[in-house]
Amino acid sequence: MSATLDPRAIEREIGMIRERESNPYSSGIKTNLFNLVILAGSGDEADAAAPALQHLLGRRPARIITLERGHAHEVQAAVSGRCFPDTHSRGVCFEEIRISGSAGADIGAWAPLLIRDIPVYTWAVGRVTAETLAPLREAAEYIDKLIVDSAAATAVEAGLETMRALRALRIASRRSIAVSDLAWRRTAALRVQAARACDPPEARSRLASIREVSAEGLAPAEAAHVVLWLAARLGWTPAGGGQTGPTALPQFRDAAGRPVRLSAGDGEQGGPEQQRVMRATLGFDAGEPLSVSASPPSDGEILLAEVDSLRQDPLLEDVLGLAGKLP
Amino acid sequence: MQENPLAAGLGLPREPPPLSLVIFGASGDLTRRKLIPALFSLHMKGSAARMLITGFARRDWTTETFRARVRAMLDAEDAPAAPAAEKDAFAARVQFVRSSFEDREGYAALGAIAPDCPNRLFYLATPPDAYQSIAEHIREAGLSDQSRGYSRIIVEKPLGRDLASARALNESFASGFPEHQIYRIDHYLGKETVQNIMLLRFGNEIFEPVWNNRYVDHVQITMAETIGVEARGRYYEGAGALRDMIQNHMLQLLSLVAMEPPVDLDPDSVRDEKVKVLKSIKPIRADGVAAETVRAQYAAGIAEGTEVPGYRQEPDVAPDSSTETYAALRVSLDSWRWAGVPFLLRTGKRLSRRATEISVHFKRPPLNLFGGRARFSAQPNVLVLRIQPREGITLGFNAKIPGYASDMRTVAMDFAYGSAFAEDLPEAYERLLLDAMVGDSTLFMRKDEVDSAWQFVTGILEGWAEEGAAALSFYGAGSSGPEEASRLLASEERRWRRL
Repeated sequence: MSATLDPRAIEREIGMIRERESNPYSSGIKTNLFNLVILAGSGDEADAAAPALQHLLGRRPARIITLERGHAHEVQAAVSGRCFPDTHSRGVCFEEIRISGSAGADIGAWAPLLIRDIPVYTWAVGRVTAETLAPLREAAEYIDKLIVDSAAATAVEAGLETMRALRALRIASRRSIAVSDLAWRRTAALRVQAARACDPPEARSRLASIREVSAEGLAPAEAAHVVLWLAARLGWTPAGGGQTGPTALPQFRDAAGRPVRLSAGDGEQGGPEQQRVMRATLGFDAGEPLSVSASPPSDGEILLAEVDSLRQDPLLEDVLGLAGKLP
Repeated sequence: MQENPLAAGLGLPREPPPLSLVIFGASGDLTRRKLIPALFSLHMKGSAARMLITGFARRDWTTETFRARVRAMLDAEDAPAAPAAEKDAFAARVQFVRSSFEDREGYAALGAIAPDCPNRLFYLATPPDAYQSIAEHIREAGLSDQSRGYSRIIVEKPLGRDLASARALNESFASGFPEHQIYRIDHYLGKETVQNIMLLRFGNEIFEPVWNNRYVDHVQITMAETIGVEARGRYYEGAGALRDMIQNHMLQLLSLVAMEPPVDLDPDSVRDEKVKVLKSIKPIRADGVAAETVRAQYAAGIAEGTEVPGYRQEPDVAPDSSTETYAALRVSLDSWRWAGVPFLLRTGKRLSRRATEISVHFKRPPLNLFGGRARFSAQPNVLVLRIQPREGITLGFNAKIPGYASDMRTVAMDFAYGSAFAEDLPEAYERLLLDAMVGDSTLFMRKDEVDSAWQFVTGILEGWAEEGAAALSFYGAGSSGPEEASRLLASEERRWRRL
C-alpha cells in the first residue's frame, strides 16, 4: 500500500505561498469564500476551465482543487497561488491544488484538502454522464452544488442524458446538492427576452396558441433547455416521435393536446470570445411570429454568479424533471 | 389579467422604462463628480439604454458644449476605465437646454425635447432655494403629469434649515408633485455598507436577540472627517455640523440601527419603521442642550501631518464665526427596545482620522468570574459596523491567553468587504438613480422622516441659540475632538471609540 497524497504537506506549501505573496504593509491575504472542485477527465479538459476561472480571479478568493482523472493510477499534486495583479488586490486569491492520476479523484484523496465551514462547489467539466457522476454519490455529503455543462455534448440526446444524470444525482442526494448547468444559464437572457416580449396582455393571450418554436444560434443542449422551459411553463406534455439526428428536439403537445413543431437550426455558435446571438422564434395559430434574441454571458460570468449562490433554481429543477419524463 | 407564465421564477432584472432625465444645475459640481459618472456606469451595464439625458442650466452652453464637457468628465483621472467608443456613445445621447430656472421657455423646450416619452425624471442638483420655482414651472409646463407614465423629482439635501423651512419646502413641492413622486436623496443610504445594516440585523439570527436594552450598554455613531470646509465655507457658515451631517446622514444611520423589523421590504414598510425611531427620540430642548450636546469648532493645528488653519481662518468664513464644525449628542429613544440605552452621535471636521462607523457596545457579563487575577480585565463586547473606509464588520470578544492562568484579552473577528469580495462596491448615486428610475423609493427619505428629523434637530438649534456663542468649545485640528465630548458618556466605564 502506498500513500497517495499528503494533505499536511500540501497545506504547508500553501501556507508558505500565502506568507511569501502577502503584502508586508497589510495582510493582503484574502478570506476564502468557497472551495471549487473541478472534475476533469484529462489535463486538456482541466485546461479548458481556465478562461472561466480567470474571470473569478481577483473577484472571489477561493481554494480551487482540480482533479485530473486521466489514465495513470499514480497520483501527483501541484500547489500554486494566484491573484489579480494589481497592488490593491495583492495577496493570494486562489489557492490551487492540481491533482492528477485516477486515484486522486477518490473522495478520500481530496476531501481532506477542502477548507471546512465554507461551501464546496463542484464543477464537472466536459461531457457528463451518469457514469461520470457516479463517484460523486459517495462524495455527496461534501458537495453543496454541482455545476455541469450539458452543451459539452454535441447532440440533443446526449445533452438530455446529462440532464437526467444531474437530476438523478440530486434525487440521490435527497436534494442536498443543488445542481446547475452552464448551458441552462447561457439561455437565461433569451428566456428573459421571451418573457418580456410575452408580457403585454395581448401577447399573453397568444401563449396558448403557440404552434411552432424554432431556435437558432444555440448549442443542441441549449435549444433543448429553451424548449423544455417553454414546455414546463406552458403545461406541454411529451409527444414522442418526430425527427431524429443530433439537433432533433424532443416533441411536445400543448395544453390542449395539439402538436407543437420544435426545431433547432445549426446557427453559428461561435466561441467564447465572440458575441454569439441566440434567437428563438415563436409561431402562433394566427398573426405574426414573435422573435427574440440575446447574447449569452461568458462562462466566467456564469461561474461567478453560480459561486455566489447555493440556491437551487426551481425552473431548472422543473426542466430536469421534464427531461426525466421524456420517452 | 391573465398571468405571464414565462415570467415566473425568472427574477426579471430591473430595467428602467424609456425615460427622459433632466438634470437641473447641470453645470455644477454634483453633476460632474457624481451624476454623470453614475449615469455612465448605468449605461455601461445596459440599464440606461432607453434614457435621454438633458442638462438644464443658465450657463452659456450649447448641446455640443455640454457633450464635450460630459466627454471630458468621463476622461477624468479618477473616472473608471471604459472604451472610448462607449464614452462617445454616451456623450452623444446628452442634450442641453440653456435657461434660467424661472424662464417658462426653458421648460417649454424641455417638453419639446421628448414629447412622446411617457416617463420623466427631474434631478434638482441646484441650491434648495431654487426647488420651489423649478417644481412650479415643471407643473405649469404640464411635465409633472402622470397620465401616460411617471413624473418624478429627485431633490438633494439640505432639505430646509429648520423645521419651519423644511415644511415650507415640502409644501412647495406638493402642488406639482404628490409625495409618491418625490425622491429625497441621502446618498449615504445608497452605500452598500449602510444597506448591509438591515441585512446584518434581520438576515442573521444571532444578532437580533441581543439587539436591545437588556444586552446593549450604548451605541456610538461616528462620522469623522479629516478635511476642513475647503471651498464650502459660505455654505457651511449657514449650516454647521448638526444640519450638515446629523439631521440627515446620522439620523438615518440611527434609524436603521434602532428600527424594528419591517413586515416586508415594501418601501413604505421599511420607512414606517424608520419614522417610528425618529419619532421616539426624546427631544433635547433648551434646558437640555448643555447636558446632552457638545458643539465645537476646529482651531489651527496639524492634520494628517500638515499645518492647517483654524475654521475662522478658512475662506468665506467670518473671523468670529460661531458655526460648529463638530457636534456630539447623547440621544435617548423612548421605545420598549431601547429605553435606557444612550445613542452617542459625533461628527466633526479636521479630526485625526476619517471614519464612519456604528459601534454597538454590549454590557459586561453579569458575573465577573475572571476579574480578580486576570492581567486584562474582561472588556465589553463591541460590534463595529464600518461604513467607510475599509468597509466591514468587527466583533471584539475576550479569549484566554495561552498558559496556566485564566488570563484573557480582547481579540477581534474581522470581516472586510475588500478581503471577501475583491471588487469595487457600486457607487451610491448609481444605485439610487436606478432605484428612482424603476420607482423603488426604499432608500429615499419620506416627508415624515425629514419632518421628524428636523423636529428633533430644531429643538437643539433653538437651545444653542439661547445658549449663545459662549458655549462653543474648540479643538485642535488633527485631534479627536473637544474634551467636553467625554461628558456625554455619563459613565467612567464608557469611552468614545478611538479614532
